[in-house]
Amino acid sequence: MLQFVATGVVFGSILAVTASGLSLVYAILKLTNFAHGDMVTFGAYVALFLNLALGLDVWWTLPLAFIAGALLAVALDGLVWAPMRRRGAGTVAMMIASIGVALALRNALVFLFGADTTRFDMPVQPKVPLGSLPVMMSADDWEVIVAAAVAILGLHLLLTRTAIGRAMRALSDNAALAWVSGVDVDRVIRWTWIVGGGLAGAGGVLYGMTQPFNTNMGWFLLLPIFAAIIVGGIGNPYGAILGGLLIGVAQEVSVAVLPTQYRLAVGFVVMILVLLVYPRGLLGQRSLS
Amino acid sequence: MARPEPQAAEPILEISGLRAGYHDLEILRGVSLVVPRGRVVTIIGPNGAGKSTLAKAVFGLVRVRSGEIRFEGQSLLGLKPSQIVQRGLCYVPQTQNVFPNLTVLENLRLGGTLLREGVERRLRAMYEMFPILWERRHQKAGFLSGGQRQMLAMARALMLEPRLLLLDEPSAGLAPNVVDQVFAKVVEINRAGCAILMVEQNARRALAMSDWGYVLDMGENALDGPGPRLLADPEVASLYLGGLGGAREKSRETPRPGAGSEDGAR
Repeated sequence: MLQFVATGVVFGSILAVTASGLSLVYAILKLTNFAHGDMVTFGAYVALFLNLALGLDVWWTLPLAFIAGALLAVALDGLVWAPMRRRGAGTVAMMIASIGVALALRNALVFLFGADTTRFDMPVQPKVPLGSLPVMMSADDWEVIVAAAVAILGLHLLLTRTAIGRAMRALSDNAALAWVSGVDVDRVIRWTWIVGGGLAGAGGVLYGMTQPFNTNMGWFLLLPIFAAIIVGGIGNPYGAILGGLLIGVAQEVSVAVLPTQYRLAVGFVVMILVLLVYPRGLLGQRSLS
Repeated sequence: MARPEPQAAEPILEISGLRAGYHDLEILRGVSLVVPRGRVVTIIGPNGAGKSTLAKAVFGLVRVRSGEIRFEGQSLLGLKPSQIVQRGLCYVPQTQNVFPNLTVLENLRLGGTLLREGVERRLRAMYEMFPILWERRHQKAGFLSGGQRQMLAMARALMLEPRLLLLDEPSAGLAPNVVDQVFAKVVEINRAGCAILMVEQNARRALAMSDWGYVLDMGENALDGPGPRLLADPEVASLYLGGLGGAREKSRETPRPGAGSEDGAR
């Protein structure tokens, strides 16, 4: 049982990293970005290319995948989202467009890398017991957890300690007031994509370090990511982190009693149970005014 | 168009023939007004007259169709809101005028986003002017009372040391004793040299303290004159002040076209 919890924490930290990025984008742009999952896939394939073609150690690809994810997100904003915002597109139109972006991105990856399942070239590490507990974890498992924690800590410091983070929270609170307070909204949006896309790219590498993957990985990851965001309270990156861990652990623990095919469904059952008690999610906004 | 007082200071804000609105709805149909430097000017008028839309139009939150808005002689049309506040005029919206999930201190720092230096000096000045904000500086703004929130909204706008402050119904929804405090602060801000353009439902109180008042009706200029003289004008009294209390409460419940629409501002 504890072994499943441990596996769940590893998977949950990957969910937390990817979900917090998506939640941040939603909070500031009010965009439900279905392409986020494929930005995660993009990060994994950038790392795969660096790892297999250039022989770079997977750990070194992590920051590079962050940068690649950030660049992709900024490019997509310039190409798709900024023009739509300028023309006053509604949230539903933006959401549907994001599905189109997701498909385009995925097929571009299939074109470049093929649809076969693949994996990073990294040494197989032995699973070692954790103290006297009946839990076996490899060094990579630990490193994934640490990397996720560092990413989340970085996000926290950015949001609470920097002027750009303060402006992000202000924009999410009240966009019109942020405008007239002198916030350069375009700049905040650019940083939101850098952070959101970067976390997606890095999250893809972390996922690829724990299991083989193919070009559909992001699409399937998107379901638990959305569940995590909704459990935590949509638009709250901290809620997304909490939701990610909860959904991750719940899915893996369910494997102990249910066939593995039900994993995804378990995530959604947890989501529904949480929403019955906390309709706005665990850390969702209560109306303050 | 009458000019405020022959001996009036030079104009800091000039609006002429302004037409603006949302989508197909034209709210302002040719409004003109002048705010002289360092003075208090109030706009009154019935609900739906376009008072709040006028304020939003100045800050680029509503699309201007024609007309001109000049601040210190330079046009504001086509500028981003952040560029407009950079020029030296700041805005306190009527509702949702603080960031509820940010602390009082963060709200103030956000108001000072465009300051290159002297943020600490402005913070000290704001705490001196609004001591309650110092006590509450680490609390989230969403937990402040209505009056405290209004004080924070004004302080946030004053962080940039504007030469003109635009207040949209600063007394709306506040208890009478709190309204007194808010108006006292407005006078204090003006004494410090900042011109005030105020949109107010509380017409009697606002006109009494104004150098000049404008009456807006159906998106057009109806009347204007020195505040106390407008207040004494029997026509103004019967059309815009008489029975205002009752009429105001009733009309609060019906949505005003444009004036309260937050969507239009986004």
